Amino acid sequence: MKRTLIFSLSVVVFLMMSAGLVLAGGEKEKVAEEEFVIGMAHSHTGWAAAFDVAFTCAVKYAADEINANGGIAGKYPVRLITGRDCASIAAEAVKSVDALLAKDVDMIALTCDSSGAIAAGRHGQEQGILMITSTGSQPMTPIRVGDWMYASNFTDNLMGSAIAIYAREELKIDTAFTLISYDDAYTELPKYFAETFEKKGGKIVGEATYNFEQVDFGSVVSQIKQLPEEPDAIMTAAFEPDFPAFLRQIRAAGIKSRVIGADALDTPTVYSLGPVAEGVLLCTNRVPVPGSEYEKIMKGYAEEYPEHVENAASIVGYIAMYLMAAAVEKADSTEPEKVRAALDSLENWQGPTGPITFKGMKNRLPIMPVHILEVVNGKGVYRKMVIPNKEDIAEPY
Amino acid sequence: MEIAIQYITNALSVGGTYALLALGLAIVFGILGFINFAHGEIMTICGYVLFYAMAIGLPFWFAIIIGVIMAGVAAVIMERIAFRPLRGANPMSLLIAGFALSGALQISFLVFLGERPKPVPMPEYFTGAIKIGGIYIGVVQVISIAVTIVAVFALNLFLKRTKFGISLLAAAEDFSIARLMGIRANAIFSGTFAISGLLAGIAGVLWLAQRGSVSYTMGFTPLIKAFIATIIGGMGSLTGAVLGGFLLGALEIVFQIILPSEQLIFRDPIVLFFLIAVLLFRPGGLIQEKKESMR
Repeated sequence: MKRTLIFSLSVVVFLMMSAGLVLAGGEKEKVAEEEFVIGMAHSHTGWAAAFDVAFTCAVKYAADEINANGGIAGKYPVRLITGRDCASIAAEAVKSVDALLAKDVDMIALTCDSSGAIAAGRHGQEQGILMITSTGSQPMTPIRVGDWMYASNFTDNLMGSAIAIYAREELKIDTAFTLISYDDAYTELPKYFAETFEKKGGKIVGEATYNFEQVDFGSVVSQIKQLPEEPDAIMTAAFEPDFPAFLRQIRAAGIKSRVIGADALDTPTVYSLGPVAEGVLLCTNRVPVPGSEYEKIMKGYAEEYPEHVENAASIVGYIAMYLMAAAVEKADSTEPEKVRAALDSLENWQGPTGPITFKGMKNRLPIMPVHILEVVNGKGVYRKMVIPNKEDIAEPY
Repeated sequence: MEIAIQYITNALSVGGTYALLALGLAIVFGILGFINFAHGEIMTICGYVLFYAMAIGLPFWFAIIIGVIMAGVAAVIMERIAFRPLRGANPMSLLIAGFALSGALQISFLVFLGERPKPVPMPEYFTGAIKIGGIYIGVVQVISIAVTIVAVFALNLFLKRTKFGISLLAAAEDFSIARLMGIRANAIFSGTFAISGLLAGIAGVLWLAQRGSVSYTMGFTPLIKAFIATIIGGMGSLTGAVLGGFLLGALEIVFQIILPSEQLIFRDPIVLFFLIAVLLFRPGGLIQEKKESMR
């Protein structure tokens, strides 16, 4: 009797386990077929958090919109997996990506910290996982990682060329002085500006360098003052806290050249600098024009993430999510190989702030719009959308 | 000549801010025998208070006063919560407590106040320039130099002319004997941190006037500079801290001027190398204090 009972129980347990395995296996297959799983390897602390956090919020917002409509093309729901904090440190980014790779993701969005993105991206490259640079604009990041990584933001060479074209063609600026920091690849953008600026007939009359968190710019001010003529413009990719200090000191020294900056200047701090910031030109992804598609998106986004609505990283995240959705839809698959092929063939995809093209572009760096704002009365006033011609874009190095 | 005056002004201005911060570190080390590595976060607290005070519409100067006072209060709270329970512990424990407090505060700022820098607008008269002959001197630079002189002078008066200041000096000389003479240890601890916090608050305002925004990591770089200045000046020496601050500021400006553009990235290592050379000849710093700190 006892042996019969044990045998019966064993049979029941075996059947239950078998059923469980079948169900679990079936469910896993179903998930793999239908979901587009994105791993989010971003920095929630450190300097990159100021961009990465807003980016992740916007990706989630866009993913929720897509899922509310039944998923990508009505059949591929998006699932986001938030990785561990990259902390703006390369070693942490590697750990974050390694953990995500173990979770069978279809794609990974990486921190904007270029050193972290390169180190971690190489692990993704080995595994053949599609990756994007999030808000990272350093053009060498996808190049150094390999053919599985794509830029999802405008890159520094595109941005530098766009603002140079605007300076020459719209503002008729003839001479420019550049301020560069070699502490980080992001602040080398003025080199790209200089290349296109000179190609378009402008003249670079001098170059100065600075270190991050350099409080005093007296030597740079003196260098500019010693020029035979004040330059028409000063171009720099400096950001907070260096840019406000630099701007105040050149204005205090009576230098009136127009100051041209990069996308990192689109911040409340720059707009709050008062009269010294008047006329500063900057690049951004935002289109703060009433009635624009951008404004409509941000209206809804502000209800969920009011603290990030003014952060340009938000619209980059929103666009990146829809860009990936467009590739999945075109591929009609979530398989990385097919999605990558679809991404490579995207041409004039209409994003909410303008067209984006990967087709025919080298190194997986898209050609996309750069929006120019001018600081007027403490606000960023929209000036122009610039999409440089392929031949005007400086080569990344 | 004009350029030389400009550079001297710059060096005094930068050095003054470093000196104020170094004074804050040195006064704690001189009396209590450890470096408070959360000193930079007191600057950050001052910055955030300034931001929120101005955001609710308080007048600029009133906001500054509140910011500096709150820096002092924060330092006292810091002492009460983190350091007082460790009184008498190994200095290494206090050092680690300082690191832990610094990290905890930074993460708290990040979580509760956000990751983006918050703008602290300065009035035009504060960020403008004065033209003297052919040179322009920034108002904030003049203020930095003036505030440093006044703060150092006021601190000196306080320490030498008030009963509490004298008791602080006595504690710095020999804490055990000072206690035997009836000086209350708690008051010494709190008072030292309050002064240190007020100095950090003043330095924070000057730092903010240059950079324009407060972020949760704002205090890190100035803390490192102040730490270097304190070591060079002579650990625990108030005069040494001021000298160290000005020396560091002057060296930074000098190397910024003489280094070719492409070599500027090496400015900080060269400055540090130069300062190490100073320590080789004077291992105790520029001014060596003889004292027994509380352990």
